Amino acid sequence: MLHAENMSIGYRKEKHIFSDITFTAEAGDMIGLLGVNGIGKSTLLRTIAGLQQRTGGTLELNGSDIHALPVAERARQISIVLTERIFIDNITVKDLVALGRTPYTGWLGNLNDADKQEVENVIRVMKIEKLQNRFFNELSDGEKQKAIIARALCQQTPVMILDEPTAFLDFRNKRDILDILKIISTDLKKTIIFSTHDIEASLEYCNKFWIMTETGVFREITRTENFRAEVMGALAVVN
Amino acid sequence: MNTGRNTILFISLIAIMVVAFAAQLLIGSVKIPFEQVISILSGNRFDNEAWGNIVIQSRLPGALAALFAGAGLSISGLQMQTLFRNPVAGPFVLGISSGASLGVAIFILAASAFGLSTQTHIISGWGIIIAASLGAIAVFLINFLLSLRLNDVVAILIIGLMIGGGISALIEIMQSFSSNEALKNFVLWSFGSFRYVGLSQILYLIIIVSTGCIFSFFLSKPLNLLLLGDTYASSSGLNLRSAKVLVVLCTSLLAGSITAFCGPIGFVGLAVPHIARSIFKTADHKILTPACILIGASICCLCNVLASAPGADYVLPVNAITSLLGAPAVIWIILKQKKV
Repeated sequence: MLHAENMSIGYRKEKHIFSDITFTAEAGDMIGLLGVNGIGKSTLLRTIAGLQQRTGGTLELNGSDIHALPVAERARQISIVLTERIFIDNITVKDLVALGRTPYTGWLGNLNDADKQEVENVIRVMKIEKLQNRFFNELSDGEKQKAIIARALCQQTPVMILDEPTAFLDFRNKRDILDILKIISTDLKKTIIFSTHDIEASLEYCNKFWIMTETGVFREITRTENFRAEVMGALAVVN
Repeated sequence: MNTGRNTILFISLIAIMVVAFAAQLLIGSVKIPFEQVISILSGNRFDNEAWGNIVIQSRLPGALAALFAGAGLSISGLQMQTLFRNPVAGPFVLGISSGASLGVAIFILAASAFGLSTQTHIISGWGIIIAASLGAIAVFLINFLLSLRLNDVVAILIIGLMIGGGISALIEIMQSFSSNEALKNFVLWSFGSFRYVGLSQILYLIIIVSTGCIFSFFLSKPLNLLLLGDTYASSSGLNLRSAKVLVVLCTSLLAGSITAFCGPIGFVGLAVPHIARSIFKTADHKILTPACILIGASICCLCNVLASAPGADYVLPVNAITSLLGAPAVIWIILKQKKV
């Protein structure tokens, strides 16, 4: 269970970007993070991922402070997919996915049989068998995104954080990515947290929304009968 | 990837390296028969005392220097290209060769000012090696302390370039005050040569470069992660700061020591990683590191043979040969990859 209580985020102690963030995320949750550009979604995701320190409040994963975890242990708990592009020449999709095993491999990064098996599993779950021997930099945007998500999945972490995973994708690829995230959260019982501007599509998939409103209020909305109206209401404040 | 193909490639590269290394011992300005070279090296009787001196005192240390310098420079080039995620980075982006040049410039100027030596062979002694090392260490320390404070590789890169620019300016000022003899010595040193390294010095170079090569194998995993960029690398469990410090340390050790012994050898460190990537079609440093060692060593051995200008009486600058070979190689690779 991932839990934050009155957490504030920002780059310096005295200057919070967003405050009073309280949420709870369970295994199997698929959570959409909404808010206008520049409100601090990426900063919040980076903070949850432990890549930057919070500026106040608490943030715990299964009772332990995420920001106190050693880097190597954190890598076994939380994986990420960023908006930042990956430029690597001469790497096959399979080798890229295999880099996700890093937190478990020895000093040379060699894969053992269990690691290789996990790479195979992930490639099957992501349905990218046909891409696995192709070079990453020759793929389309949608294929690249699948490969990058596969790398994160290969890290076998209970929490997966994705920053705008469906941006720049066409309708078909957006659906593909959301379908995959749904499978990962429900079947593999992982917590998926992703920021998005595709409200309509994510309303179908997510069981929870975190909304950062322009008035500076953080709202957590869980799927109920009035789910849609509630989210739209909170977003109306945004607009 | 394809293990069978890689094995064949590695065996071929080892064969090429052995041939290139042997060629340096057999080919030179002085024509020595093949079987005589063999008997000299194997410690058997040979016909001509001068031939023995040439092979043992001159060709052998030069050949070993080329072998190890090529390997070390190529690895440090690979590491810098990965660390800065920049294909035009090379072993000297951190300002190491500028530092060494400054040390050497001060040494040569001081030596000529005090009338210590006006001979050209001043550039093949321990004095130069120590001066170059001190200069390289000074610049390394500045970069190292900055890299501890800064997490931003681009900032480190820019600072390295700026330090290099500042030092070049200092050297130019010193040159304008130098005697003709001192100026000539400095220019000769800056041409780079594997022949400055004497038989008594070569062992030190071999030990330092071997240490750096072994060290770099331990950096394979961090370097593979750094390819993904800082954020992904960190989220995969890499301690960014210590990884970067270790990479800078390894590159400085290799590039600094090689520059101290052989002068600034350009282009090898930039070109060889590209050649290795295009041959092995991989981004994995476990494969690229040994590939760079073999390719870099072969190319420097070959350059050393060409620099000795077989059949002629003069020696060409190694830097000119490495650039003449390296530049077209890199252009060819880029054209081939972009399928222009």
